[in-house]
Amino acid sequence: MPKDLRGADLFDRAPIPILRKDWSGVKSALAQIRASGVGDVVAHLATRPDVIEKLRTYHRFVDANRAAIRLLGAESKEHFFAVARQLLPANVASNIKVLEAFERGETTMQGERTLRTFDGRTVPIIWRGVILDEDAQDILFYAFDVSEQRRAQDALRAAQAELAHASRGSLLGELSASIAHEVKQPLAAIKIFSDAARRWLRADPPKTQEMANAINQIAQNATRAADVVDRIRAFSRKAQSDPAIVDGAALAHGALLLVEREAREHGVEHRLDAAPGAPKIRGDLVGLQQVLVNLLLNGIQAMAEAGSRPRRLAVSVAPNADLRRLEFRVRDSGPGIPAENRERIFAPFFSTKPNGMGMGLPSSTSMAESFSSRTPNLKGPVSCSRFRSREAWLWRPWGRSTGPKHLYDLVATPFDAIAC
Amino acid sequence: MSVSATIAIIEDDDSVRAAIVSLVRSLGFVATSFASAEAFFGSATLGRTDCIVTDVQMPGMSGLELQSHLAAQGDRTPVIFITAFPEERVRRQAIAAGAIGFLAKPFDGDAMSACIERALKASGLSASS
Repeated sequence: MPKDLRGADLFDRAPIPILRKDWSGVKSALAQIRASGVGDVVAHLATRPDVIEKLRTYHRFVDANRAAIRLLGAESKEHFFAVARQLLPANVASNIKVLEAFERGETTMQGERTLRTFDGRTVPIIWRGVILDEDAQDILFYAFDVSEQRRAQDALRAAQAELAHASRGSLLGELSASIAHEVKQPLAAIKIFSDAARRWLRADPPKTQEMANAINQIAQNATRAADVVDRIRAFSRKAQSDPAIVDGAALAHGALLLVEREAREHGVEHRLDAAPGAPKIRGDLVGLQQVLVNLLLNGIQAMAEAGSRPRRLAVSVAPNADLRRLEFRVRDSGPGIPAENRERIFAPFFSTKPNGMGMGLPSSTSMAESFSSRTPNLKGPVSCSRFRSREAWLWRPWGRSTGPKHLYDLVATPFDAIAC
Repeated sequence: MSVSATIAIIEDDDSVRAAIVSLVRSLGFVATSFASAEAFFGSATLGRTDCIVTDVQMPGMSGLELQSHLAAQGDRTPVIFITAFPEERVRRQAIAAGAIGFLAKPFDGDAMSACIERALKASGLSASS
């Protein structure tokens, strides 16, 4: 016969860190705030960290089990109680989760935070809490150490960033001839204008108007060359850029500029349709641009290789019907993807190009997926975007009246949408 | 005093085209300019052109195609090629077809000047006066 299970044992010997706390002081303070006429207490508190700071002093540590003592790096229960109050303040986000549960009359809540342990480590945890009584005298907090998962996620993210960087490098390699051309043209103009200026100066009398014109042109062309270099440099940066608020139309325009020369060389007309006032999105500018450049280049090369006529490339940027997502569409007038390749093109190392590495679409996909990773963030809604091939047609001939309207969508949520 | 020779400049890059126009004018010639070979042939200025300066690589009709198009029409206007990416194969082909010069961008003003002089001499015109 197994022994009777006793509550104290269940608590103390549970292999999950548990903290037992008394929040009754906080709960009654909250009731007072509400009584003073504040409508939405939680929203009010979210703007008043000072009040949260004060509320926090009303809660009390009641107990900690062995696993909790161990997780926190305390030497003993006594040690834990001696220093817990100074060392364990939760972050505001976690506090608010509890206050929200009070306000909504819920008995469970959860969140994520980073613990600073007594011996100086930081441990990312997911915590869950259960409120056991009406007055909140008894709340149990369970902590799950997610260091391992976090490390794996970080490693995955780093690997994805490496892959993205490598495939940006290979994209730039494919574009190198046209980039060189784009730099060389303004340099040639500068050289020729300066020779001309010297001759205008030597004329008798010197032609100052012509000289001034040549000198202005020299300055403009120097700026043009520097702009090209800046664009390339921004694109080839190694570090993943921090998410920024991005104007979708400007982003698409920048991507088109990068392939402009390549398009011209192959006689490809291109156009950008951007809905005026389309919502801005939050995301990794370089990553998003890379996905677009990759799709644009694929389109240009596919049309050139197939000898398609006419050669057209269109990028459109528009919010979708519910205004919660911004859709980037890249379409071309090439031959389309044969049915047997429609799934394979997303597999690594598959390429239909003679010198293709087969990394463009896989890395675009993984990048687009990484845009959509959600991290809890109370400061504002998180960006999220999806990259999908709605139908298996990637390159669909223009003017065909049947079949899917668009093939390749990069979908990103406007940064001001409430949630993804 | 005779009328200045007219040089047609065919180049798709706006800045480079403007630069060559300025240079050619500073040498004392009259310059006409076109963004493509098609635009040049469409302009009916061919008969009034003493020398053609053309880019090799252009969207649409290339410089070499322009040259053979002229030859097919029996036109003997001298042609000078300019290119950002000189390739020996292209250079040989151009020279074999009678090109007066083949200059890599950025070229020297003096080199262009010498080429134009040679072109005009070849077609029986002297320089600007």
